[in-house]
Amino acid sequence: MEKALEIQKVSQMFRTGFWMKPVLILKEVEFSVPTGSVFGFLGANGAGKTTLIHLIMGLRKPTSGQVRVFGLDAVSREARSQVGYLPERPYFQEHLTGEGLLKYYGALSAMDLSELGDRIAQVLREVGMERARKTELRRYSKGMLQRIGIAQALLHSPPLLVLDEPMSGLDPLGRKEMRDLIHQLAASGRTIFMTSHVIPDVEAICDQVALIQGGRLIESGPLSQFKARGDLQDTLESLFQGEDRDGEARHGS
Amino acid sequence: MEKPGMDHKPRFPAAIRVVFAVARVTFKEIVRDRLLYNILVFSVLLFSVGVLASRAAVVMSAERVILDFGLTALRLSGSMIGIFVGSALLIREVDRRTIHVALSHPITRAQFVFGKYLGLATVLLLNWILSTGAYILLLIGFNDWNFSFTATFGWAVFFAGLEGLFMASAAVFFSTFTTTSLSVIFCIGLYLIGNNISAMRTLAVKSAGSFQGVILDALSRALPNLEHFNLGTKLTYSLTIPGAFLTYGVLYGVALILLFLWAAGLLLGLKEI
Repeated sequence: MEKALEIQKVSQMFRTGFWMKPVLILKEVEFSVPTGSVFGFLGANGAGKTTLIHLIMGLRKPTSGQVRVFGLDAVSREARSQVGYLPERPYFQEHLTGEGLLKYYGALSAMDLSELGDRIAQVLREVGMERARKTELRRYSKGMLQRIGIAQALLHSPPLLVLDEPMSGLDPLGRKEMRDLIHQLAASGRTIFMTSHVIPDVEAICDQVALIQGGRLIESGPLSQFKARGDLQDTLESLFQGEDRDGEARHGS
Repeated sequence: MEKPGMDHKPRFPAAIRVVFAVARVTFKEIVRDRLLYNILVFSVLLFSVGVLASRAAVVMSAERVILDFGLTALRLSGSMIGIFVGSALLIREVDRRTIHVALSHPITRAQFVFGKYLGLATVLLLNWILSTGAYILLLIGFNDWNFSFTATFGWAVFFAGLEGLFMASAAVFFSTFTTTSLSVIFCIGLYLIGNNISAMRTLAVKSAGSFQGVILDALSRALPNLEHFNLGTKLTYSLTIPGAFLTYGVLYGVALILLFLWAAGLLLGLKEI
């Protein structure tokens, strides 16, 4: 099966504090995401999920290893044009309207101006935001920001969507709407890579999962494999408890 | 359906359109910033002080006082906007994490830096047009609609604008590796030293042979010489300026701006965001 995303022995180290002490955030993480799948990347807060997403988005290069998007080096412009990205907390220019924001990101993707207007209308319809297109982002609710964030990720029609905690901060109705939207996007043939730490969301949406703890990959594979063993919930709970202890130890040291 | 006679071919290549898109959003962001208006109020106050001082002028003619204060207000407002807004331009994007989404698109960091700078440069241009307009009106009004403009006046206001553009590029450069407040401090230092390079050279000559002399000489050669952009004395005393001096000043200013922006693009490329 063709791979949308390949994470090959990726390690990431940061230097922190006054003495620039090295801290290893990701340790030889390796897995791949098949084209057309909805891939859930699970781990507790601080496990290294967002760091890996930054590597996938080409925002930084890994200390060692390789990240490849459809066979291309993730930091290349060609790779970035294949990916749409929704950050964990969608931070956008608040002074822009929904439509203005999409025009901006459309221009950054070097989209043809003649097609941009039609495409904006299309993605706004897709995420159910046509009525808020002229409203400034400062007036948007959290759910609306998530939706406009998805709209900007979809705008240049990328075959791979990377969604960092797309359900984060949403109320139950918002979560359901977001789930439905992701289902709809997956049905249109896109590969979706999303992070989460909410098991019911992952079970409802994903067909592939990978578990990460303390920067190390614990396991990856089809969701059915975990469901057959009936231990996804237990595995995650033990991982999260372990992560809390690891996190305390790392921050305490 | 395509309308007859409509040409959808873009006017600019994609690489340039990306820079313009960043510039457009940056421009809109800056004109909503209260800091900009505080600086504008400051320059209006400086113009007003010029008018008051001209009424009390004894040694100099009142017209010269207005010329001097007006040019100072023009130079300071441009440089202050360049320094204060430029220092926060990239850091604000990093702090608010809006840079993550922008750079996840197929643009280079250098394009992003140029776009941010171009947005600020447009604000500086707008400020320069408004301030120069106010300055000209003041001069005309003060001279009973009888003020004669010289080429020196034109070049003096032009270089005041160029100085603001340079300070903005320096602020963007410093902000790629330090905090907003440190970037402001570095820029103010650069502005003060850059406007006193000849004094520094004189000191270097006086202390020639000593360690202090060597350091002063090296600094006076390495740091940007902003005296090229300050035609205040020439304007006040209506001196003519040689063409070679003007050509050198323009080329020097443009080269400095491009150098600082290139270095900023390079440093942002290396920065962990």
